[in-house]
Amino acid sequence: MKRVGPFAYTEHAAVLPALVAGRDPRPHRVVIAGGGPVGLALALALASWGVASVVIEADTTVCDGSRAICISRRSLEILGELGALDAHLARGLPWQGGRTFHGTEEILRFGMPHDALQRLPPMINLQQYWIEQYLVDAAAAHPGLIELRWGTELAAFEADDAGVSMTMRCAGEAYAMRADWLIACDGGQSFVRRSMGLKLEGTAFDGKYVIVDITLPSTYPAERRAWFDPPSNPGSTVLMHKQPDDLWRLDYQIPDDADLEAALQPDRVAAFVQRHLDMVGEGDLPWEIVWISAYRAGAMSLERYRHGRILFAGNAAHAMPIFGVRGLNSGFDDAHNLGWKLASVVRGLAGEALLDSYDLERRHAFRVNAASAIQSTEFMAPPSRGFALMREAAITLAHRHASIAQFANPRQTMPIGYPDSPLSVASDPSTAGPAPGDPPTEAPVRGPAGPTHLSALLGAAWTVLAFVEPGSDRIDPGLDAGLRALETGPLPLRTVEVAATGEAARTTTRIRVVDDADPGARTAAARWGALDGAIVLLRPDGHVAGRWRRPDATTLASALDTARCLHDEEKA
Amino acid sequence: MNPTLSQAARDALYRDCALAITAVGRDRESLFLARLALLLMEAVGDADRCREALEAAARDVPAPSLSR
Repeated sequence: MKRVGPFAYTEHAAVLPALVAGRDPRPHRVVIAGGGPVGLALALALASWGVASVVIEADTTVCDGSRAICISRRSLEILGELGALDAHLARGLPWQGGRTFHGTEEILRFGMPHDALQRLPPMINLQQYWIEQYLVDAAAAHPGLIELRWGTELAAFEADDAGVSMTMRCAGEAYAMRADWLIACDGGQSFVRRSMGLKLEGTAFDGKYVIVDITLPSTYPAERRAWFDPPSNPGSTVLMHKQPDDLWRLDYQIPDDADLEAALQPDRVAAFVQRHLDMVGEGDLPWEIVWISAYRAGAMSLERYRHGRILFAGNAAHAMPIFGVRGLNSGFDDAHNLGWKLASVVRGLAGEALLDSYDLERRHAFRVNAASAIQSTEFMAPPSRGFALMREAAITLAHRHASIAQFANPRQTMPIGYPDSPLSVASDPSTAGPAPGDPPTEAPVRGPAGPTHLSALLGAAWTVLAFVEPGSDRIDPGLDAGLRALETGPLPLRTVEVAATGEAARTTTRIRVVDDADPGARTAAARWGALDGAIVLLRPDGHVAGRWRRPDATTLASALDTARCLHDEEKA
Repeated sequence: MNPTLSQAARDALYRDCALAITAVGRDRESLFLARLALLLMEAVGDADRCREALEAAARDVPAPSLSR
């Protein structure tokens, strides 16, 4: 059996369904092309809504080679909703920042936003094969809802107004199947994308990078280290990241005019790595190359992520430079955004236009991500003489000028709001806290089972976050009656009451938490801009749909209709 | 607010800048000027004024004939 350190690859048998005259005769709701982390996360998100999917994966194991290693706090929150958080936290290495060197001199120490009241670290490092394995394990908890067809390739497909007819190839046999929706999570070389004649457009960079993973029994802590012009390899830029199981990732740039094939030769890579390890004082440790690969940066996207019954997510939809770790993390965001929307449409809980909001919102996120990633990439791999000169100016001034040192900050991925979302409704202004379209803000609270966090209470349902007015111990009675009607209606919806004092409690559709986890401060209310009381409607992905000081039940019901893209004739 | 240099101060800065360019030498001239630009942008602290200066400096840059 193939192993990498303690990770033992499970070889899965190819899964051929029961066929009738060369067809899988069962009508399927959703087929997901690609069993990578994005496809698996989407299947789990759909399952949390009770929606079945078939995941098609060409390989018979989880991924090989150097891939994503950094999982952001926002992605960890998503993994928590999908039932996969504990395994990730148990093995992943948490980290909070890093340092940048010019030569051997430290010019910047950066930290990602973090404080003692957070539930989760700002980032963990974990190899993608572990990530995929934990998602496969989580999928196994939904046997009736997630069907993972290993060793199966999508060979052809044709969409019409009502669904997609597909041809699958498995173990030398071809069979037909049909689904209402096909979601392309088939990665950077997406077969679905190429078959439809679609191209990623955007900015591609010339800089060439070598990525190498090595085993190295180093006790240096997990953080991001970057060297510009290190004496070990003059002129180059080197990044170094710790992974679990004594695995280390090095990325380094080679000159634009260098021969990439030659640079990837193991003896050349080994010599580079040895010089680098000698420089950081770890050259005497035994180390071995595990993987070598090449990388070129690009910030590119499809023009649209929805094409009728076919939608794109993750690397199939967009490419991100590695700097700032927005690749897999934006893919998890895609799956999280699409999951509740597709599930709601499949279950008849929303208008089909809700899927167009996936396209709008996630293309907005791409533009925000691309702006940061391009800035990082231009610094890491200057695309022209001017960028090279300005970078050297900044690097050589950084140690004495804190503001100029910020050019060397890697601008790590951050949660992205949707300020122009069509799902947001007219709201009361607030001076602090998340506005309509924004992702949720974390806060510690006291729950019925002890200390918890708001982020742990969200997922797979709409949430009314009700900050009770100070001096009162309950929600306004008129609104309360309306909320109870919504809680017991057809839409999955729960109320989270946040009270200043009193006891925490739980009923089937309602949870009451107390805002005293941070002694002497109403931290949750303060962070949400709700010290005077507020009612916040959160979409199932935690983003704010609307917020009000004292809404009536009609306002909430109408907001729920808008945020589900229900037309007037469809409204209940 | 746009503080104006006195003619005496302007003269002195012009001269100091010239001496500094000469002192770093041709090989380091560009890097020196890029560092100066970065520091001045921080000192000005006004994006519009920095952009105006950038555009003015970039407008009709001739091939050097007096400073070859």
